[in-house]
Amino acid sequence: MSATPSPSGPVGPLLSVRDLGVTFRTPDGDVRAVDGVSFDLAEGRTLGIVGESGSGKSVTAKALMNLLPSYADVEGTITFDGRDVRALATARERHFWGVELTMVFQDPMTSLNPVKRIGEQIAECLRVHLGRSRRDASAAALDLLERVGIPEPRKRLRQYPHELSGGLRQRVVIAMALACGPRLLIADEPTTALDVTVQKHILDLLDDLRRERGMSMVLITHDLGVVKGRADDVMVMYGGRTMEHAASGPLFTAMRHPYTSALLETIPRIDAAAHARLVPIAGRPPNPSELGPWCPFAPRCGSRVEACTVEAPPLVDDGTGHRSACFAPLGAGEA
Amino acid sequence: MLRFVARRFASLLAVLLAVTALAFGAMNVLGDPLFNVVGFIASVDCDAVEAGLVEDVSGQTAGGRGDCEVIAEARREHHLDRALPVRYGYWLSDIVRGDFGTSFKNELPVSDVLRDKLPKSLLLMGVAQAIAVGVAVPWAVAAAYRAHRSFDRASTVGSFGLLAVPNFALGVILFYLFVVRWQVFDSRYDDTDLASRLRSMVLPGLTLGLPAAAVYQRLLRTDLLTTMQEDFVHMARAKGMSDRWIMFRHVLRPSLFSMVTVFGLSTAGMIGGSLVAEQIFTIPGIGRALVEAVIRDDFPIVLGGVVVVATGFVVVNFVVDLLYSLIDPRVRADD
Repeated sequence: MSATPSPSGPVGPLLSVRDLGVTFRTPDGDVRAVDGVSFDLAEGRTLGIVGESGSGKSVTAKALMNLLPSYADVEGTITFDGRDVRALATARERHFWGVELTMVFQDPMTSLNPVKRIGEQIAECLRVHLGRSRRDASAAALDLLERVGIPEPRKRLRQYPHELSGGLRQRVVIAMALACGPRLLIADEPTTALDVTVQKHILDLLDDLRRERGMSMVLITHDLGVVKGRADDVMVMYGGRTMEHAASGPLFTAMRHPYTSALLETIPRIDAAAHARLVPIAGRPPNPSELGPWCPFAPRCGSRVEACTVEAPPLVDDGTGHRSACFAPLGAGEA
Repeated sequence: MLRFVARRFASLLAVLLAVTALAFGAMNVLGDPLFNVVGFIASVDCDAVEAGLVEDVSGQTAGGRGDCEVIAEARREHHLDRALPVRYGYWLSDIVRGDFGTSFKNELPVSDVLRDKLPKSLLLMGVAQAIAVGVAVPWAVAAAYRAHRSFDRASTVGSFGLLAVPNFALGVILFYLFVVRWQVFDSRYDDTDLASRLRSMVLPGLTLGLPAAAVYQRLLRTDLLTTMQEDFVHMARAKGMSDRWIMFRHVLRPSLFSMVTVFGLSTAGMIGGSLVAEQIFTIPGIGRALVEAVIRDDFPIVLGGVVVVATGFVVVNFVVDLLYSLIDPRVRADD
């Protein structure tokens, strides 16, 4: 196996993904959505997965959650605390999801059941998986609502999702996800559908909860700014492949991949001159059905060399756990 | 919620007024109510008799009175000398007090006829709708559970087959198979007790219920599949809920809208179908009574039947409206 473990702490990894590949069989041919993705995540740490739409980040998350549709072929291994996740799909082991591993989705407007009371939805996991009584689970739901910062939690328990704003709903979704005390939370663009003013509150809340519960988190976003200062490790994906993967510090200060650099350029900077123009990445994200054996970023890449259009560069570890896949890495001249 | 009920109830009354006014108007304009009350002597020109131009052929009708006396009395009694809207007012106030008039042919109060026939027809409708829903819901759930697999494909063919068979044909087929061939059921309607009545309703209930079940199954299956794509269903999966739990606790209820709507509307179709079913299975219900009354120009029976049928239809759809708000709390919020 060519992939080496990522730079995580001394503790053995809680989640270990090796050579994950996802292919969608569609009437128009196979689409390779995720190709050879490997990473480790240690207990209590946060991994940021960053990429544009179509980069395969959400498909990776769905593969971890066993949420992919039946026309998706999954390869590779996913190990959680020594258990093979992909072998857990039987009905008897469903409680793995929810109790050990769970997920928060992008749009809080649609991720709550519109016809069930909020309290009931939060308590569901406790009642089904942990066999708690109605009263007991309801009390726990109240505590959770309080903890995620929802005003008048007692009243909210009996309300329906449509009676709450988007920000409050995402807090409810988080409370629901945390109900059974999962060890790993996957947050897939948890703030993308929310107002900018609410985004930071939700991200801070997730961060606080992760810390106080010693939970691990996979934070998926298209915005490098979101993972900055929150993730321990960052993995940048493009066209279903890992472009660069490093601890948060080196990734932001000594990035190697031109794509990472281009992504960073797209973030508005508070210290930039007023009215400075944002720098978009030229071209458009690749259509997964048009990927070939070459580097997926090559058509849009400013540092492209001839080899890039012939074959995909391998993901290479520089010996410190900083992995990147590029024939013409940034800073290579000086090094 | 109370305002919601009150408003729906007001519109229910408005619909009933419109329907009865139309039916009453049509009966009085298209037919000749005087003829129906007094028979052939209605054609006697009493103005001419009074003026001495025509001889009154007295004594040839009831009680030896003059024809014109009889006509004048009938006019008075049935308010035939008043304008049509006024007559509608009299008729309506009688109906509200439970007086539907008397049948022209056998002098029986219409309300007695209705009291005798209606329960049988209501029982038939009830059995038919119970069969329809009882068959459609498990059928749709099973089809949606494994969509596009063999059971689903076969049930698509089966439901279209049921829809394609006209209900008189289905009724005759069932009658032939179960009454003539296998002699599982009696050909006569058995009115001795509730059990025997229910037994008599099985075949006509199937005749009306199976095609309706096919419609419900198509609608519910489609809505179930749509709901299964919702984020909150993925969320429930991410909470580790089993497929069966998700189907019954999360997917079914929000998917009932189309089916419940058509349930209300199909009541009208069933009233039409019950004419056929009551003929084939010799049930002395309101459908048969109405057909006979129309043939014999027995207006009070026809009008009484129309009022009862229209009321039933409107009430069922009123209940359907209330059901919406039970299914989805957002309907209550829109009020």
